[in-house]
Amino acid sequence: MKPLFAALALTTALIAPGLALARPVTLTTNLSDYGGRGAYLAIYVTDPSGAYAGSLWMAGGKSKYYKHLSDWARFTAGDVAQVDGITGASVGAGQSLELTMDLADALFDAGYTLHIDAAVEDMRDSPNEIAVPLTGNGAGQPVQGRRYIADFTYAF
Amino acid sequence: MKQALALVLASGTLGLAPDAEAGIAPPAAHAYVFADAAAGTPTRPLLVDDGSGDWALFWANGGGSDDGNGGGSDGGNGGDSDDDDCNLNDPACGAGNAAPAGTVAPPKNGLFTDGTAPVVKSN
Repeated sequence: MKPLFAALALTTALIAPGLALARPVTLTTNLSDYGGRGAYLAIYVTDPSGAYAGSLWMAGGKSKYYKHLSDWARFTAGDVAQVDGITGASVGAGQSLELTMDLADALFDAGYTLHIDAAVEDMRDSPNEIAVPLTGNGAGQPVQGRRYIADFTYAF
Repeated sequence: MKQALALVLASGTLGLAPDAEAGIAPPAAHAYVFADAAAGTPTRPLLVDDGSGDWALFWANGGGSDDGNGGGSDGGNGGDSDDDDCNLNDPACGAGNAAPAGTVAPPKNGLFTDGTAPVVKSN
């Protein structure tokens, strides 16, 4: 009986943390009517020390324009591998981008910050247009952008 | 002889045209500096004095319109353009670009569950 109990306890201990590692999060970015072409957006995260932790999404397919997402480009040296498999189309003025992904629980209430750099052809670059701490309390609270992004919200 | 003279006049007119444009710039014209003057560069960041004392970095497309208004050239409806995004059916477009979502697994950067691609909706 004791070995069975020990095995059960062990498997529970191994599985339970895995279940708690991630949660589905929806990121909604509403663009303003800025009157230009589709916006390139780099969505990425920095850790509590302000260092680049990784990218969550890249809106815009041509890497030659990524240098205009200047903070992201500085953090990553323009490494497109950072956004392999998480790249989609640019987002038009007045449109919204809704992303749903399983984010690590460890990102929340731990000092991590989500950033969005934005750029539009023939218009001024807008690095770090959104910078929002990832917290449980911040979920569902819209954050206003400065230039191309009307607002951004993350929700569980 | 007349033809040669006409050619000389035409080429002179064309060659001087940019100077003439510069001469008629409005008094409030701002200073433009090419940050990357390399010939053949498809896009050129421009440093522009916007009058506020700050130098702003603009995304300038070398092959774009020359209307001088700095705005978009496709009606300004903000829709996606073929210039901005890659057509997945065009092999030339994919060279040097990131793999689109759904074609490979997301990077293992520890932010989201490995192998689970984000679901995207845009409207």
